[in-house]
Amino acid sequence: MAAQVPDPQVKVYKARGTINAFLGLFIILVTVILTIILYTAVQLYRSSIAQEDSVRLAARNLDYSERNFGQVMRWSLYALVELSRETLDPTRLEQVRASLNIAAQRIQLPMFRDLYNEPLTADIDSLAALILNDTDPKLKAIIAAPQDAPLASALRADATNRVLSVEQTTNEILLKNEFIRKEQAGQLIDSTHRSSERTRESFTFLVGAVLLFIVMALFSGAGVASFFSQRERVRLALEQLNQHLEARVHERTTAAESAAVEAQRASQVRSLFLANISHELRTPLNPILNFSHAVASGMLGPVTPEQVDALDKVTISGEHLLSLINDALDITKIESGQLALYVEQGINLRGEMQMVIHAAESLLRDKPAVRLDIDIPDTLPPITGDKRRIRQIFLNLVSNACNYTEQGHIVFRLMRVGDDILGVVADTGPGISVLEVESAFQNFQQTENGLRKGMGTGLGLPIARYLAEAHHGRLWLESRVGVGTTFFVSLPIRSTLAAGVVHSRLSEVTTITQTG
Amino acid sequence: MSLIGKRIFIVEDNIENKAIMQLLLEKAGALVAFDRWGVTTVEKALSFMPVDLFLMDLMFPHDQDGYQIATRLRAVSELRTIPIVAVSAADPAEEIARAQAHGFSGFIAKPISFHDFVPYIEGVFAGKQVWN
Repeated sequence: MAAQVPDPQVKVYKARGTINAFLGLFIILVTVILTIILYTAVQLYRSSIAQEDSVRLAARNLDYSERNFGQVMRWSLYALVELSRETLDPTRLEQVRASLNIAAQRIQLPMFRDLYNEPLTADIDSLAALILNDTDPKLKAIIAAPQDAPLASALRADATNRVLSVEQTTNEILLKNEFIRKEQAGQLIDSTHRSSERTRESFTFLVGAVLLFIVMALFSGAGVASFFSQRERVRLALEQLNQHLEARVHERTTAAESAAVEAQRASQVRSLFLANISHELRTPLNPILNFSHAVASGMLGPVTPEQVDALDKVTISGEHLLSLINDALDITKIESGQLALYVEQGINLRGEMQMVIHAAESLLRDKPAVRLDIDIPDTLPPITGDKRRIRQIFLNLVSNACNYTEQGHIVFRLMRVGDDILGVVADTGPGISVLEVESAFQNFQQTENGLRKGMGTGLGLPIARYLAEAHHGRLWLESRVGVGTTFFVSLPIRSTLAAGVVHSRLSEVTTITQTG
Repeated sequence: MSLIGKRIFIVEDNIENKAIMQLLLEKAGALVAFDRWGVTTVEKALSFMPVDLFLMDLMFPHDQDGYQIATRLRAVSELRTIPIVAVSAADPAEEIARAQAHGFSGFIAKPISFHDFVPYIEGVFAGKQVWN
């Protein structure tokens, strides 16, 4: 027997697998979000570095401006010194002029404008304009006329003033520069501090994120792995369940097969038993009935009428006993599905019914008040069926009619109706009430009249109806209490029954048509 | 006396059944011999030659049946063509088909009919098959 794998276990495995898969997916999602955050942190860090760089660049520009303004001042002082000389050297003045112009142009570079505020920019512009528009033409003039003493004197005075102005502006700028430098230094410190802080934060964040990422990756990996392992477990469990089911199906099939074999064997045993018992019960009746006949017939010597009468009673009782035995065996066979028909073609109903007519005449011998009307035309077509059983159907019906009818008439008629032979057995007996119709067809059930008379087994009608249906025909009745009963039997002329031995089964439900 | 001179061999284990058949057949003028258990049928039949007809019961004790006895009769050349008619209390619906398959010439149900038994046998001698 295979190991029990209950169905719910498979469900549990499946559910676990699904949960793990969802967990894994969730973890992967979280990891993606973390990666985005980490990327943002790195970008922040880089921007703080860039800010620091820009501060450093500004500081560099500041140094440059200082140098330039220093140069302007130095060149100015130098020009003044040159002018204060007794003999002016035009070549050196030309050098002074060129240097001043370069310095004036350089302090007007855009990078200084970004560095200072509005008034200081104006100062720078006016300083440059002064050098380029005023000092420069005057220097040009003195270079052209170095010997002009009054011009030199005027220039000297002018230059002295200018030096003061230049010095003032330069000092202002340097002061301003100092201020800016301090500011910048603070900014730089702040920025550096901030950026280093950011760096630290980013690094911490980075490490945390990496650790989290690793943990998440491990978890999600475990989740995915678990999902697949659960799936494998589900597959294995299903496989096991399948094997188990197969084993169980095999087991059941074997059991069913052996039960079928057993049932078949039991059926065969019963069949054999029935065959034996019917044989054994009928066998002794053979000498009983026939020796009675033999003695009564005078075959064995002269007999008196009283002796014949006595032997007739033996014969009648013996035949009654035989019919009881036959009925009991028939109903047993019918109920166990063992009743066989020996189907032949070309049955001559008129010929077969002779025995029925003889039986009726014999039963009515002591009932002169009952008239027997037989109408069996010799034009009836031959039919297919079991001739003994067809005979039995009508024998049962006609015997019933004879037994229950005390006066009036009994009609036994066969006719062709379409594709069927219709048999009619009508009597003027006590009739069967509506309430008794059903029980008349039940095994061992008799009507009140039947019970009162104490005749028969109550099997005649059920057997007759079964035999009609086994021939694919029908048996029904119409009856009126106090008027009489008419039985109808329809049998197909061309039966679909195959010739030979036919085992027929008891039909499930038989409907009864009853009118009147 | 329609069966005058006919030699009829009965194979039947029940003495009373044999007796009534013998009575009816002998009253009709036939000569009757019989074997009870089927074991010595061939020898007895050969000593009763020329046999005109076998009447064969079908059920015997000791797991033997009339068909086996018939087969043994058929195996003897002198007995091969002699007609065999079954006389049995078994269900005719089942046995007629088997009897036909074994080459029997008829089946008479037990209890036999006092009035019809001899006419059936006459029918067999007239060349008819009797499947009653």
